[in-house]
Amino acid sequence: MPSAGDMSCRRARALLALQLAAQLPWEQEAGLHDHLAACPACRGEGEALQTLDAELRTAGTLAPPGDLWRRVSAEMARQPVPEAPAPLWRRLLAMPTPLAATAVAAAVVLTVLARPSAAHLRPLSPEVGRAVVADADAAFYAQHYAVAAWPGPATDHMALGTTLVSAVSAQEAEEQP
Amino acid sequence: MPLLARDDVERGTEVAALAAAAREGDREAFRRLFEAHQRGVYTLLAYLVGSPDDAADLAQTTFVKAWRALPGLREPATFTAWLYRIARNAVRDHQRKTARRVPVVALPAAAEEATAGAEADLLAEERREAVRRAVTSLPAKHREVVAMHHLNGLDVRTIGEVLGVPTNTVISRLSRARQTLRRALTSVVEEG
Repeated sequence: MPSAGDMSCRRARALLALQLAAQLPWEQEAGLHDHLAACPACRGEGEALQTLDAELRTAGTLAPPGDLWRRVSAEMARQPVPEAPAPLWRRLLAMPTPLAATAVAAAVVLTVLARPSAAHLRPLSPEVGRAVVADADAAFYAQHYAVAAWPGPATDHMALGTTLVSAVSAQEAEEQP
Repeated sequence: MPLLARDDVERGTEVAALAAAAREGDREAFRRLFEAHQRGVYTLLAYLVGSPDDAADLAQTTFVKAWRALPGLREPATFTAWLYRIARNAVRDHQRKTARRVPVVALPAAAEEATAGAEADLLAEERREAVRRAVTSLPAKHREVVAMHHLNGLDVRTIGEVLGVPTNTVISRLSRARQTLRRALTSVVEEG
């Protein structure tokens, strides 16, 4: 591939493509300009590409049917105005209680686990656990007490979270007719 | 050459403001977005499906889907790329439903050119037809970048966002498409 100045024709053609895409770095502009001034073949290529670009812009676009907005707006009118998504706290409140409680418990568990060290947490005694879930269904408590008995502060707090969820669920189940 | 012309920046800002208003349910703002994008979306669809009637139906589907989905648009500044993605997905769904690839056919003259036929320069119309035939003959991947960039004036970065490919890939596809078009349109380009 011949060259004019410091730039090869292959390089100049690549830069022409960037220039047409409005992506030519400014520091390459002078080099390309010099090459085009010295190389009739690349200059002709650049002019042909500019002509092609102009032909495409003027000849290629198509007009949509004149009634397109009428069709679109008629379809829109059949549908309610879309609403922006509510903030997270509002969506949590709108959730059924067990789901919301599960989400809160999961957040608590993740917060506890994400702490750099759980060494400062003291294990919960079974009495504390019993006091917290005193109003909960005994079966739910028994199910989760087995987990709570697993030694370790992190598991104690995790068990407390799941037990609280179960307690809320059980309470709600009882309140329903 | 600057990356973005001043007009592009102002246009982008206006589109973002309109998209933000439309996202809140402002139908007039959405109508203005429609006015600004209908020709570009229709042109892309027409070149992708090869049928003006199907393109009109898909353009309707695209804008209605956009209206429904607008509340989920996080960045109003990306509205144009987002809208074109919906249009491409509409084409994909359409082709899946019809279970066939729509054959590439020459597109008839658009409505406004047809009505101006009496005054139209026949030679210019022949050139337009030649360009349309050449574009519709391109492979789909090249056709869509040519439609978006050369016909609709989308910048290569936005096209990259629409297609989910790097900007360099868009530039490369455009370059190859132009080589094909130059061969197909030798007489038109040389006359120009």
